[in-house]
Amino acid sequence: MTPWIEKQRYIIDFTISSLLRRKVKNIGLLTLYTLIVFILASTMFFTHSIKKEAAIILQGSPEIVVQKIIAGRHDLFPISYIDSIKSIRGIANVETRLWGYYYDSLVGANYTLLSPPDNSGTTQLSGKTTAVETDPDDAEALAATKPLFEYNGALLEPGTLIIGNGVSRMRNISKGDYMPFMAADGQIMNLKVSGTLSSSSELVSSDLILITDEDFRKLFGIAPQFVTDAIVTVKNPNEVSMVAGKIKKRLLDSRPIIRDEILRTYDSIFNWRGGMMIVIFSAAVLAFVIFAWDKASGLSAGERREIGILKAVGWETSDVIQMKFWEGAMISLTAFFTGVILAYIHVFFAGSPVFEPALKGWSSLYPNFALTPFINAEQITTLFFLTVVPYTVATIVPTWRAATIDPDSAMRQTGE
Amino acid sequence: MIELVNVKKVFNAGNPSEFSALNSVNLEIAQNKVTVLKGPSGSGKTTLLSIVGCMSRPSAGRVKLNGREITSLPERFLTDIRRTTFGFIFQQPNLIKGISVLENVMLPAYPLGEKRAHLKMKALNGLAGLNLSSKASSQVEWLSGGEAQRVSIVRALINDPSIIIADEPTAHLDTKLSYRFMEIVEKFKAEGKTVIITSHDPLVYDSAMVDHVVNLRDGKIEDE
Amino acid sequence: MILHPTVIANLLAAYISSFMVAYATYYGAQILKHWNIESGDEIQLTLERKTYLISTLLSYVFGLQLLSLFLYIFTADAMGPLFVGAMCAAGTLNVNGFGYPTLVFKILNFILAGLWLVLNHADNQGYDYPLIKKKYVLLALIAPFIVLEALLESAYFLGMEANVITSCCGSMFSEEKVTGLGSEIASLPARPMMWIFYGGMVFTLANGLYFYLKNKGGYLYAGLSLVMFVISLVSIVSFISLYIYELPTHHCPFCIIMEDYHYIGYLLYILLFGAVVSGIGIGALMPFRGIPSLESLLNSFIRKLALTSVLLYAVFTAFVTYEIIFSSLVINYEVVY
Repeated sequence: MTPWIEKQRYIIDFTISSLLRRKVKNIGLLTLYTLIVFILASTMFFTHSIKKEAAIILQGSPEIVVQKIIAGRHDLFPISYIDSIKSIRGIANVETRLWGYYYDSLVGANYTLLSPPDNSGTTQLSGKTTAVETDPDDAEALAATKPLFEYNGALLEPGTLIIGNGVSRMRNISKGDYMPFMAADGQIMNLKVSGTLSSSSELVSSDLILITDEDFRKLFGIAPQFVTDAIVTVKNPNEVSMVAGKIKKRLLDSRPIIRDEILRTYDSIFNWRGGMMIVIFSAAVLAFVIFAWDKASGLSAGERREIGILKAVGWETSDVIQMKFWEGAMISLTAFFTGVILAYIHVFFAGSPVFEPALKGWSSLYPNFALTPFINAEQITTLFFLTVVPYTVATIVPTWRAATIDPDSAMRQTGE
Repeated sequence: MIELVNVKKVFNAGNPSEFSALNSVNLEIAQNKVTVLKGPSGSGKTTLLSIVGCMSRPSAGRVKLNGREITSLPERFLTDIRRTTFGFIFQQPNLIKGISVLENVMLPAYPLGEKRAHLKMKALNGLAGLNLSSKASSQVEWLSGGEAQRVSIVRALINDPSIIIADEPTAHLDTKLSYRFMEIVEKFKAEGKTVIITSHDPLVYDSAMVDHVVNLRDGKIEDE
Repeated sequence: MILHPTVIANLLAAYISSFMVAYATYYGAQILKHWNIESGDEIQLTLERKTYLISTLLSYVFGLQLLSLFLYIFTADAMGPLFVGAMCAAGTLNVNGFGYPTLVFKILNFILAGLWLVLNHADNQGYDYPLIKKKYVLLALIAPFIVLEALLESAYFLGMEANVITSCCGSMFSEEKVTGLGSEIASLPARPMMWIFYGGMVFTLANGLYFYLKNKGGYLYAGLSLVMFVISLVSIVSFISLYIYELPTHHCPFCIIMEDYHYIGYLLYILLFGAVVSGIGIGALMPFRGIPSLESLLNSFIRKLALTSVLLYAVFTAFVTYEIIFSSLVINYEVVY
């Protein structure tokens, strides 16, 4: 075994010196390789952590949302439905929600307007109360009961707003400023900003504006017997889908949406986006593979001569193949780790300036937040398969060709 | 002892460009003797040398090394025999540029996986033997023609071969250096090594230490 | 189909493997047809050079098989949230009928590729290519399996549909699907399985050592190592996983390779795979001990294989025992599911 290890050490040493002797040629390859890894790694890190982020935030969203559907479209939800839902066994609580979108033609952005349940004047079911006993040590349960948005101590009263950071940035307004809205009846409503939302959950709260129930109804002209939708809390988490089924049976025009389904859909969308990016970049990978093939097969006269000498002085074909293997491994690992580290910095510290618009945005108000670094073995393995494996395979045949140069070729060259 | 029976070597068989480099060569090369293969260029000297030196296999015929049939051995075994039995000195020094003289000398021993300290000592001893100690750490580009050739001789000796093969060793050397080379050959002979040289340089084949001269023409051995 | 980056990586690996094996088999067939060791013709020299290409290709295929086996499980695990009722890889593999067959083929192909490399290594020791024909016949037999694996894998990934919200219906009403997907794997009762595992292991190791020392019972050991491989896999499902998860009900053989369990699964599976490949390798080489060019070398190679296999199984058992002793789970009643 020891001679084998010693031999590999010799070969590796020789390979390193041979790589360094051809710096210019190899730096070009290495740069391109690193770039490919960097792009793919950035895409994957980005989609993965945004998925993770969305999942964490959605943990705090309601277990079931019930909407009313008319002709396949979402319609206002009659408050009278609430009692019918409440009578279903297993339901801990039902709350109504008022929310909608407002298009601001001034900056060309859509805001999400929400009337928080705490300030609900019409429904008696105020406050977020959960009947399920929560264990204070269970972080997940705590996260689930934690309100989704934090007001930073601002008080929401009629005539005032609490705005998300994206809105604040875009309109360049903050606490104490006024914000005009065009109401449903054509009147202008001037509402005062009484605070901004905390930035911890900016992915969902960036474009959010919190508004009182009264103002919301006035703004959109919604009658008091209607709300946007209802949220249902279930006593036993295992019964969520069963309760959803019962709601659907009892209220035929309702559409219950389970939180897990939202999670799944988000996951799918981001996977799809990430996958699309990879498919697009696969053209780049392919180009790179062709480049690698070409580079590996187009040995320079100097390299050919060198391999000829090695074989003439007693290196065997498989020794040369091993040398080429180490060469590929060194190039691959250098490029791979450099690319991954650069991508890590790019996504988690620099805020991924390259991909943000393509992968994140669903409105013109980009959330501005630092992603939590999140990498796992699955991502690294996937990256490895998408970059190192194609490169390695592309170089097998050229390597073999180079390694089978006739040993007597060194004898046959006259002059240099 | 090396024995060749009816050895033929055909290149590009079956193609219009087919040609035979060697035609039914029968040859015996004796141990601890200096044999010179003489002939004009294109006479098949190099092809014969590469078959004798286990670098390539004949298209037909038999090759025996010390009584062992090696004709149809796979490359991996031929290489194994070659690197422990033969030392090669080429027309060109064939050194690898960019690495030091010492590394160049150690190169043939790398696949054998010898202990580094031991190998280094052997290489340094070899260099000292040909007055090259001071050059051990210099780059090969800085060597003179004669020095480069001596380095390649040290390299050929690193695995302590019993047979030395030299292909036109004096082609690029002036008379003084050629004589120095022949002195080295004499030393080999004194150490009990077998030496096989191809050359069309009279300084080589007319030398007193040469035991046997083989004339090659058009891939055939000519009778004297 | 789900356009997940990891899915793309999986399919890419499967196609690359198939392609490499098909390419190698093509040249293998040429070797079978034109091989003539006595000849010094250029065609023979070319074929001999091709053997280097083929063994390089197969080494890569072997490595790729091992990596892709783990990648496959990762993928299945990562896609768990996309399917109703799938908690981890065990559930995702059940999404359609191709999941588990693909896994089985992946393991099988890994072992076959390993076996080929063992045979190749032995063949390279002989100066007259003594096993060349057998080697390439075996390659021709392996190739369809690897291609089949790629097809199964494609069918598996292309056939999956995520349970997402659709515009027509908000809820999937998962209850009807709960039974269909079954995240739990059927397992044998833990206590008796533990006896079988330890009993079988002691017997196998003893036999392996006996073979190593006395050079008798090689075929028996090869057979035992295969049987022990299956027993070990069943044991992982049956009781080893329980101790690692410290849960009396979680039988998943896949979660142990995840971060949450310090990737202990890698170690266990790699030890196990190594042990079975070297173990079966003994059986594959036994018939060739009489070949003159291999006589002197093959025996020592076989004994090395035996020692490797025995050591790997022993280390595997040591790790399993460590996990059991230091687990906070105590099985003191008969768990039957």
